[in-house]
Amino acid sequence: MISVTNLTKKYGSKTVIDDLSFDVNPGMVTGFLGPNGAGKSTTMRLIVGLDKPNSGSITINNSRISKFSNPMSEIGVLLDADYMHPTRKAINHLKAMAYSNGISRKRVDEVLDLVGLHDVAKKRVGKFSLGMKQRVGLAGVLLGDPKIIMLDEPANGLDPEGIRWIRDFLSFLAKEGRTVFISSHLLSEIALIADNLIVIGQGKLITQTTVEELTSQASGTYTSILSPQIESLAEVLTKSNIEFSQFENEFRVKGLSESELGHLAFENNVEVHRLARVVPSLEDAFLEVTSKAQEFKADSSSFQQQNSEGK
Amino acid sequence: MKLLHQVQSEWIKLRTVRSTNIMFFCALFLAAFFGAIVQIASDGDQPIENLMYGLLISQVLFAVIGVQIIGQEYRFKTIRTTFANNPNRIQVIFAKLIVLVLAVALSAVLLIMVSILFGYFVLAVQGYTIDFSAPGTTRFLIGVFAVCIFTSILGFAIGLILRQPIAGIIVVILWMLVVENIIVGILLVFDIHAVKWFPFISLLSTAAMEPDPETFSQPIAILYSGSIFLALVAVGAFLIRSRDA
Repeated sequence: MISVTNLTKKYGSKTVIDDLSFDVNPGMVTGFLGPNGAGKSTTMRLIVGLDKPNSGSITINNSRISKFSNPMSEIGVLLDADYMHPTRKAINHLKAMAYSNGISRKRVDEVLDLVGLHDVAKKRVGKFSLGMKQRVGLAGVLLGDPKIIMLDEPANGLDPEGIRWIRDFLSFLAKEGRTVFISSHLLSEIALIADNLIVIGQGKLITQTTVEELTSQASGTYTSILSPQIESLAEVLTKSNIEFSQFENEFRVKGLSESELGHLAFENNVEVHRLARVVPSLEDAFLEVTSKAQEFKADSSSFQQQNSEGK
Repeated sequence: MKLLHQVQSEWIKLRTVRSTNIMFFCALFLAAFFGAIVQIASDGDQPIENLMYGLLISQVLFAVIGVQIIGQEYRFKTIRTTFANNPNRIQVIFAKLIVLVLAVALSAVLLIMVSILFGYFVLAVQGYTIDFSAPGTTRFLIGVFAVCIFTSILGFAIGLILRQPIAGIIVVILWMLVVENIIVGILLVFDIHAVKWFPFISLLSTAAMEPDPETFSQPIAILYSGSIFLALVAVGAFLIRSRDA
């Protein structure tokens, strides 16, 4: 478990982390989200002691990281796949990491097999693609067989195949019962693997929730009902004082569940072809909750309008 | 975490970077090559001193290696992996220092042996032999060894303080080859003889067959210069411990 309590970090006069508190619970995949400049990478650096906080505390399994004699057995960290010397061979990079924590050479071979890099282990990492470097990085994370794994943007810059590999790999780690704490801009990926979400903006906690809660609480959630009896359904909804919007033969209703709406239609003998709860995507929900915390925001409405005018 | 584990890790790092290996090789090769050249030119006079002439270049390379051992970690940001895996930064720095001193000590012994071996053949052609019993030989060899070790420590200290390899290399080379000499020269204009207080010149004076009356005795000079360079390492270690990585 990672516990962050009242964490504050300033660079000069700029406060990048502002009284941030959250817990990363054990045995789950927790997504760490926030707009660019929200302070995600800084928080992760603070967690592993690379940066010094101005105030607040961080504990990993109830201890400060500096108290661990072999930190790699407690937490495996990958902050950037490029943090490798380009002329060093992959196997030597991993051996240097392993020996610093008293981990055997045998384990180096095991993790190389696990990430599928055994055949290129004796090649210099400078010649590796980003995807291969990412795998070396993940091999390093697993060297100490840690219960907690923390990854900063592991899918950044990867091609679709690489993203899929990372996703499958993280799912595999989660199924092993490890705590996975992962930051990412790829919200669709986070939605697929995360149990919990921690959303920050401008260094402050916006929400700590689940993917389902975040998306269902977003204002875009509605129930869609499709009927060939347009006029009858409109009349029923109006009589029942239910607000709705209509798009051809589809009615969108907020505040009523599928069962409530279905029952209403059934009672009034209105034929229904489809009844569904439509929740916004994680991306929509994310943009909604972080709209006030975007440091660098571009308005897309202008080019969307230009695009429609062009059509 | 045991210091030995970190030393093992730092040893792997040192010997698996191409530029460091090339630098160690150059230090050995150039020392032997220039030693032989100087010996050929000087026709047998003071053979031991001549054979070690290449040390002037090798010591610069050892200082550069000292800068690189920490500077490259910052340049490629591998220091973040290092400190994430071992948050005890002082232990990491101490392990690096141990590895550096061991590697340079080993290289210095090799450097002396290779230079003597090269010189042996040159001297044989010239009709001379190396007289190891000549007065001052032991003093000279101890001095050569100390210069190699402590210049690398000076480089390491500069690397710790600056954390940038290029800037560190420039500063250490300027210090060794220019700055102290210029200041000594300026002071001499005013008839101030303070050469012994300049740590690098003082250290360099230990690698001579005969003691220089204007400098400290060899043990004192090594102790004085070594203390200053190690104090700079301590300053660098303190800065690294207190700064964000």
